[in-house]
Amino acid sequence: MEDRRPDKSIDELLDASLQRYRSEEPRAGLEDRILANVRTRDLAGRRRAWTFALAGTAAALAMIAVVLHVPRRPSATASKLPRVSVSRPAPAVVAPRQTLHQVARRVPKSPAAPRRPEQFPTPAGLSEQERLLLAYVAANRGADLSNRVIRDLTIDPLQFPEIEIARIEIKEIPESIE
Amino acid sequence: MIGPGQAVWSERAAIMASARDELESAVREHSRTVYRVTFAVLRNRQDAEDATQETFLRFWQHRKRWAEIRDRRAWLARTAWRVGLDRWKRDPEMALEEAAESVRQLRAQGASPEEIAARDEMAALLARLISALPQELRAPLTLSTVEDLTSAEIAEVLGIPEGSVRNRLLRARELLREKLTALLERKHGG
Repeated sequence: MEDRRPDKSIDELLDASLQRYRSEEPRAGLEDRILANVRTRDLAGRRRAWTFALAGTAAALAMIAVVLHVPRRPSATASKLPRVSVSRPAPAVVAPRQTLHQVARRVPKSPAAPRRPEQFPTPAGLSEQERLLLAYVAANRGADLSNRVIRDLTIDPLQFPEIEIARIEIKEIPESIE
Repeated sequence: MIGPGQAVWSERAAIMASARDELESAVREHSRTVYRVTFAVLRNRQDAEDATQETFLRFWQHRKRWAEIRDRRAWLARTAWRVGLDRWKRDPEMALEEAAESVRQLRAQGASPEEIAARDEMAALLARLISALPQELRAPLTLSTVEDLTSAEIAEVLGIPEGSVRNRLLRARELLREKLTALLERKHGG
C-alpha cells in the first residue's frame, strides 16, 4: 500500500492541475467586442474595395480620354528617313480555328468610320470640267454645236517642206593607195 | 414604383441584414467555446481574445458558404484551433527544475493536491510538460481541456476517429503522469 501512495497522490495532483488548467472564462463583454470588431473590419474592407474600384475606373477613363484626344503625329525621325519598301514574301501563318463569334468579336470597330449617305450618288456641286462643258454647250446650240465640235476636233495634216537630196557619185579608188 | 436597380439593392440589404443577425446569433451562442479553444492553445487571455475575434471574422468572410456548414459549432472550433496554432509561440524555456523543486517542497510540507494545483509553479510545470508531449498526443489533450467539447467534436476538429481521440488522451495522460512522477519523486527515488 505504501508503494502505491505516492502514485495516487501524483494522480490526484495531475487531476487537480488539469482541472485548473482548463478553467478559463473570457472577460465580460466578449460578444460585443467581437461584433464591433467584425463590423469595423468588414466596413474597412468594403471601403478599401470601393476605393480600389473607383481608382481603377478613373484610371481607365483617363487612359481612354488621352487616347481619344491626343492627335497622332508622325515621329520626327521617322518622317526624315527615306522610305524603303521591301517586298517580302508573306510568312506562312497557320491561323487557329475560330468560331464565327470569335471572328466577329475581333473585328475592330472604328470609332471614326464615315457615315453612309442616304442618297447615292451623293449630291455635290459641279466640278470645273463639268462647268466648262456646260458653257461650251450653251455657246454652241443645235446644228452649230455638231459643226463646231467637228471643226474643233479636226486635225490639219502636217505640212512638210520639200527636201533636196544631192546625188551620190561613186569614184574609183586610185592604185597608188593600194 | 420600384425600379429593377432599387429591387436589387433592397434585396442585397435584406440579405446583409439577415447575415448580420446570423453572425450575432453565432457569436452569442459559440463565442465562449471559441475563446476556450484558443485559450487552450495560447494560454494567454489577450492572445486568446484576439484569436477569437480573428475566428469570427473568418466566419463572417465565409458567409456565402454558410449553407454548406453542417455543424457550425464544430466549424468554429476547428477554425479557432487553426487560428490558435497559427499564432502559437513556444514559451521561453522556463526553469523546469526550479518549479519542480518548489512543488516538491509543498508536497513535503503536506499541502493538499488542490492547494498545490492552485500555485503558479504547478501551472507552469504542467504547461511545460504538456508542451513537451508529441503533437499527436498534445492536440487531443489540449482540446480536452475545453470543457464544452465532446470527444466526437475533438475528433472532428482534428480529423481523426473518435476512438483515436480516447486512445490518445489515455496515452497523453499516462505520459504526463510518468514525467511528473519522475520529477517529483526524484529525491525519494535517488
